[in-house]
Formats: sequence, structure tokens, C-alpha cells
Amino acid sequence: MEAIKELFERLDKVPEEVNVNAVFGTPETIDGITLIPVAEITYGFGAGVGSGPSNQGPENDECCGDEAAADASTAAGEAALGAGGGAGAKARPIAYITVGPEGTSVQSIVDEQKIALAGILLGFWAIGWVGLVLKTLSTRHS
Amino acid sequence: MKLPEQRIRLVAADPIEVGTRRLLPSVLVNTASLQSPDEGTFNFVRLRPASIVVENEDNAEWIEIPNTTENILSTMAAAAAGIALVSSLIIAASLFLNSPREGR
Repeated sequence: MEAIKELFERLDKVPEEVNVNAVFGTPETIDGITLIPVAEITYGFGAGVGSGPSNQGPENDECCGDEAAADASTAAGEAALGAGGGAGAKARPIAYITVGPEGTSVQSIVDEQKIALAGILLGFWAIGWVGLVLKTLSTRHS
Repeated sequence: MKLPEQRIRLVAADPIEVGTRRLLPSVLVNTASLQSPDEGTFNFVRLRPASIVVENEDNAEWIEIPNTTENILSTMAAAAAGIALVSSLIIAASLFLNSPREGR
């Protein structure tokens, strides 16, 4: 249990030690123009631990023989312990910086697939609401 | 129930040297954490590039780094909320105006 608590304390310090330089990629020079990729980085992790009384007891193991009953009786006073965790990370390019003889500029990268999907959903949403309004108005006037 | 603690910080990243220019990037760091040593821990970190300052030999220029995709999606979400609001108002007004009233 102490080891898990120590692990949690170390994990809690991770957000304080974030490396913000990971957002900007390595500059690449092509034909006199330097490109610097820029990304949005998201990551998260979580872990949990729980304990409870063991459900092994002498009354549950009467069928399993004397040896098993003896093992269960020694374990009956101990608490069961469980722990689990998960983590995930995502990096998405959002722009690139161009540095050339004409100056420095930022070019956005648009996720067209995500916008198209959102547009389709917005269309269905609008059609649904308009249909509901028309149905209400027609019901009231008839 | 304990709520996650959220923090937003603007952090300067390491300068990038490109020829005679010096780029000073800044990053918006959004963290949310829930810390309970007895039960568990949860941490969420989001790093978003905010802007760069381009330093030349004689002047400096500030350039914002927009997140165009997120801006478009936010506009769409606002439009969806507006459609729902206006439609709800029309339906409510229709129900109110056509409801049988007392004394008539």
C-alpha cells in the first residue's frame, strides 16, 4: 500500500514537470524556407486503488476440505487489495510556422474530416428542430 | 465528491533560432488534477501553442497561432445551440398563444 501511495505522489507531480517544448517540432529548411510544425498535445492518466474485507472465510469453505479451510481461516483476517490505472495521449498538428526571406507567418492546418462530420451532424440537428417546429405549428393550427 | 483542481498557465518555451531571427514561443498549459492518495489520482494535461514573438535585429513581431479547426467547431456548436434555443422559443410561444385561457 505504501508503494502505491508513493506511485500516486510521483504521478501527481507530472503536470508540474510538463515539457512545453514538445509542442514545437524540429525546424526543417527546404529551399531556403524553414518550416516549424506546431501541434496541440493532450494527455491524461488515472489510477485508483481500493481495499475491502476478504470474502474468504471459514463458513464459505466448509466443502473444500480441512487444508483449504485452514488456508481460508488464515486469510480471513486480511483485507483484499485491488488497483488499476490507465493513460492516453494525443498529438494533433494545428499549424506550421514558415520563416523565409519574406518574413515569418503561421499557416493553420484545418482538420477537414472533423469539420465535415460536424457539419453533417449540425445539418441533421437543424432539420430535426425545424421539423419539430413545423409539426407543432401544424398541429396547433389544425 | 471532490472536484478536479484546474489550472491554466502561460509558459514560455525554449527560443528557436532560425538564421538571424529568434522565435520566442509561448504555450498555454491547461491541467486538471484530482489527487487523493488513499483512493487514487487523475491528471489531465493539455498543451496548446498560444503565440510566437519573432525577434529580428531591429524589431520584434507578435504572431498569434490560431486553432482554426477548434474555432470552426465552436462556431458550429454555437449555431446548434442557437437553433435549439430559437426553435424552443417558437414552440413555447405557439403553445402559449394557442392554449385555452380562462375567462374566454
